Amino acid sequence: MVQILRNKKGQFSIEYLLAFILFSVVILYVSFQAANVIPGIFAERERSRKESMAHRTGDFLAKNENGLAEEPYLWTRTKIEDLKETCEQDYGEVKDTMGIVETSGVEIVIYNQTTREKICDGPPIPSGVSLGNSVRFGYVKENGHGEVHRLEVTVW
Amino acid sequence: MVGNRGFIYIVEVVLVSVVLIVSMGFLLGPLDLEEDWEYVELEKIGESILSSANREQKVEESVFRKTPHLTDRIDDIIYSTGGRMNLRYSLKAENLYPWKINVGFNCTDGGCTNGDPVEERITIQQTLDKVWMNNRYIDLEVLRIDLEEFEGDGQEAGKMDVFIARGEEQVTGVDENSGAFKTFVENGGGIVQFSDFDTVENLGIQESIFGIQHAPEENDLSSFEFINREDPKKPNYEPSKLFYGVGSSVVTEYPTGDLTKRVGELDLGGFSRYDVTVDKDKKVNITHEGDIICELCEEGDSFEAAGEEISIRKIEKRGYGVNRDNVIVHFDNPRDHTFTSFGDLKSTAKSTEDESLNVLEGDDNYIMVLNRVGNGKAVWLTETETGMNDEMRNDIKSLLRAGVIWAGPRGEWLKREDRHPRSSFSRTSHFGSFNKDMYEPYKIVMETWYTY
Repeated sequence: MVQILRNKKGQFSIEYLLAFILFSVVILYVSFQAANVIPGIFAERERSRKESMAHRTGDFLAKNENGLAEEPYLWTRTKIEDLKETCEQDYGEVKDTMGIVETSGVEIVIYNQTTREKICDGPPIPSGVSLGNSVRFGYVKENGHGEVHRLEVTVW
Repeated sequence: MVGNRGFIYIVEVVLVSVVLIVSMGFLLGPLDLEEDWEYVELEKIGESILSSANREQKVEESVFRKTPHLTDRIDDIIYSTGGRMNLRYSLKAENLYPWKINVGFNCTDGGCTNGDPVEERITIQQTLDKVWMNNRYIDLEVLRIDLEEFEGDGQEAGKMDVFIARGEEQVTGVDENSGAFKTFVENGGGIVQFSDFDTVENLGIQESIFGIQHAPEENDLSSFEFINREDPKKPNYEPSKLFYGVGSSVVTEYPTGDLTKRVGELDLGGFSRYDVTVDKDKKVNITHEGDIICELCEEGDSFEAAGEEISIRKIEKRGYGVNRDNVIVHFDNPRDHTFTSFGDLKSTAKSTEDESLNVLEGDDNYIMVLNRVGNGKAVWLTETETGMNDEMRNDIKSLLRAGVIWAGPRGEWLKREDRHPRSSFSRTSHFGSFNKDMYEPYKIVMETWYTY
């Protein structure tokens, strides 16, 4: 009996081999799945960060006196023009005010029923980057009249 | 066994594999943040849409006048400003009195006006009419319900919001179908009984639906006891608001043999009765004891009566059947009417210093009691005179209308669109009130979601 056991030294049992192969397959499967998912998670995190910046910027512009608003969702043409001018002169300062990080950019567009007016934009949006979008509606007072406008903020 | 030390078995490997695969889902699942942002963004978009609409024109003006309808304005905002959005919405006005209340009835032979259900429908329709309140009409549309098909929650029940039973025969009809009516009311329906109580006091529904625990001893109304009766002393008692909010209108009709004018009477209580005449051009003349106090008046004109400034709100030709040529003159409510309570037992509608409007109390007068039954409401109105005819006093007509409106549903869908049950959505609310004729608070609820 002792002789027989000695002769098996260095040999794998069928059980061990099967378990080893199965475990390897699972590890490979989990690794491939993780490799597929992890970049998505990073992209999602990045997109979420940009969504949060776009959302914060949209809310700031739509409701804050230092943005476009006289009162929440009541915007003035003067403040729209001011923002446009500031952005043309110093895009970085506008980004700072909005709390947009240095590696990101922002584009702000206002629409009414007939026109599309770009209020602020910097360098062109690079292709393939994730985007954060936010939309708000507000009433714009101008020369005693008013009209509902749509504000669209894109952070990249 | 010694030789197997350090070995792993297939079953252990399978277990570890299962744990690894399952745990991946748990570890990575919470990292999906997409829906959270969608929810926040939808909520803020809804808020900005309602705020903008309110800036453009007060939301209540759209809600109550319906022109332009609030949904048209919101459609304009969403879909015409800056191109199409993949956004959809539903809109509901909660707590508002609806624009239309379907009122069911049923009668056979002796229980109908002149033994004819068609005439009975016209009679009830003329009595309830439609009500001008807070800048819009509330239509009270009367329709006949087939009690043989009525099960309380089926198709027949779905046709109506409130059932009205007038007189002994009709109330008995309700009693014969008491199970179905109990179901109907408990599911949120309304029922109004208008009858001489002596003739129907022994019916089971008096307790099971209208909540009468003890019927009165003879001529002793103080022995009445109701279960779950609405407390008439509570602030903003609705029937009181409705009674005075909808009560000021005068139906004028051709006097016999004279087609040159229509006549009616404005009863301001006590001896304050005013003759109202409408000429061919729909101009209104109002006289009091032979003195003319408003001559050739039009909508918006005002006059002084009983020490009050009263204005003519609306003049309109409207009627049904043989009364189709009637002209109705609506007046603004001149007085600060309040309901007061007569002790613990009964409620009373009593105008300030005006005993003639003690409409809910007294041996010879009528009594109205309101009960909540499940999700529904039951109105109990008794008077010895239950005829809905020309002699019927304005105040009981108004009470009946107030009862039907109170028992009716609340809230109205302004726009109802189906969304995918699994789609992420958000709700935004806008609170407001209207107080032209009576205080009417409401909540606009906007539900928004994306379509992909």
